[in-house]
Amino acid sequence: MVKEVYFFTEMGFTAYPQDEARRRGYNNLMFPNEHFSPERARELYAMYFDELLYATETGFDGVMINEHHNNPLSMMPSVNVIGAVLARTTRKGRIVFLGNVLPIHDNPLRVAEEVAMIDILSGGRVVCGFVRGLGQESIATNTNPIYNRERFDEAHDVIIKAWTTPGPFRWEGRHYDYRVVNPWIRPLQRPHPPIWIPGVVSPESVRWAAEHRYPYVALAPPLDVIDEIYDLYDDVAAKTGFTTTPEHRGYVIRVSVADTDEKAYEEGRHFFWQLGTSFGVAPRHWLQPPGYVSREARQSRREQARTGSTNVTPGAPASATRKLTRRTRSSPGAPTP
Amino acid sequence: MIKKLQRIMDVVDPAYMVFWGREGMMSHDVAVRGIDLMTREVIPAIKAYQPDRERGRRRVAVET
Repeated sequence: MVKEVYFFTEMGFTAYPQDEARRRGYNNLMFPNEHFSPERARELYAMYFDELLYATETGFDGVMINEHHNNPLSMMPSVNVIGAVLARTTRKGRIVFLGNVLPIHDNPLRVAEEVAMIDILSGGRVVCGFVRGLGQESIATNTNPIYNRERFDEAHDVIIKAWTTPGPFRWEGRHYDYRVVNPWIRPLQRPHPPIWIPGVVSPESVRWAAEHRYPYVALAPPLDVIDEIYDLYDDVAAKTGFTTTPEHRGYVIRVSVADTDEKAYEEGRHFFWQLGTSFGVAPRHWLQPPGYVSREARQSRREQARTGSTNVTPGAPASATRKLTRRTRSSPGAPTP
Repeated sequence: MIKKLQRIMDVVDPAYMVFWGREGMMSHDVAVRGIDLMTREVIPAIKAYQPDRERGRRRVAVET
């Protein structure tokens, strides 16, 4: 059964000229930041934070936040800054970080310290997710995508050890070296905040999450792909020595709710506000630069599904199912309705 | 809407769901009304629902 429901928005910077993006054929990474307006962003931040606060006050179990770089899709280039603001402006509900982009950090101990601070500031309300980031994140931060997976693994290990092993100790790894690991600030939740792993493309990430017994949160893939994801998770869990429960599974879905079906469908179109897409338009080699994605992941059904995934669940709360399903299938790739 | 979400729950049976509930040029008033409807009607209904993962898998297999 569903125990907890969280609210999410990408906090898009909606005020950029889409005609210019259409002319260039892309709207992120190299899209000139002269089209950003701090004044407009101030208004948008205020609106988005008001809505997140309202969600926590009215019945959601918390909010989810994330991180993207060089991208009008999201005004959250630092998930920890957003989390810190929420720690002091919300009074209840978990703050779900999905998550910190580990491979782009040259100093993962900074992540350990910041998340620990936010956990304390929020009264132990942090759920700490870790992600590899989009390919654009690697390019934007000049980190080699070939080492993305290795850096993710090692940064995770450094952070967990810093939270769970009394310091000082020394760390000598392949990508990170520390003469002294001894962060003064440690999380309020012990041994550390819950860790969730979100994703949709990579079988390695599903396998890795199961090996670590972390919940895997599927980022809105179509239902016919879900079986493959959680079958793999279940298989790895069995080999690891545990039986999965609903607490190992999460699901993110676009939801457009209004007083009537017609209004919900109309508002649901806003999920595809960037040139008719949800995540924006970019050359494939930005999204997946060489070395970033394994051959296994590239060939998986999940990858195929991701590129075509546009599922939205619109409707009035009690609307009929059959109509929604038929209409969704009748227009693949278009904004559903 | 609620039935659609329950169909998803039958397949996934998650303990945690995230509603990506506002985006793009959606107005503040529309976003707030959506949050109201989610918290008053949708969330209580899906928390009360007992998913049947086997039934959901069979349905997906038939439909795909």
